[in-house]
Amino acid sequence: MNIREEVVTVLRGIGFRDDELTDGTVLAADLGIDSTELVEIVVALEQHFGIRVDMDEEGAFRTFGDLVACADRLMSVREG
Amino acid sequence: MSAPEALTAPPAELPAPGAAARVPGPAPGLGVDIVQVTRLRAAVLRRGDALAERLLTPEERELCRGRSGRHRLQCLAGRVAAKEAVRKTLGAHGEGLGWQDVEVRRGAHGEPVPHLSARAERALRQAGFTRLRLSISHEPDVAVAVATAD
Repeated sequence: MNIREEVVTVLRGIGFRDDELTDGTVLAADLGIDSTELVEIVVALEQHFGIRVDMDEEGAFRTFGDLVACADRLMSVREG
Repeated sequence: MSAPEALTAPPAELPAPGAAARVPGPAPGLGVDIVQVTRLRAAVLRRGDALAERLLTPEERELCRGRSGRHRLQCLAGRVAAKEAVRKTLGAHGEGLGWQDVEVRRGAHGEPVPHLSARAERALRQAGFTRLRLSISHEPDVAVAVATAD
């Protein structure tokens, strides 16, 4: 599974375009994502991947790359 | 997520030699937030109960239960706005606080009463405050909350 492509798919489902989603894309400044929208993204990632994102980690997400890294790490843990 | 109390951060560590300590600036003591109900409704429809479970504490979910769908949504929107407004009063001191660190209960006269987790209470005091006040207002399409700390 290509985690990055899967995260792009999730965010596409929420209304973002592929070309907006680079690793350095800043969620708030570049995409206008506020805290309420971020929590939906986190829940969408949880549901898509079957993972559980710690609530404390949610506040540390700054870039699209952070989301990919989190999903990648949690999937690695899940798959052992 | 573990209970916020279980995630309480240890006391601030001393900075490494040569590193500048990051001292939060003065907290504003005032916070306002607005939530568009239609946007929140769309997110709830897409994500189901998982969204409310992340945004609200179990007590808040119980408080918002048993009403019409419209009232449940208004209740959720008001609490989301209130939690954000409270966090904003703390400025940088509130960084790292999560949705479950601020719980909005209902007082004897229906007024919103903020209750803080242990670490949120600590952040309040580190910001130089001892008291929070909160007001929430609803219209069909928006919920607005204003919080003050002093």
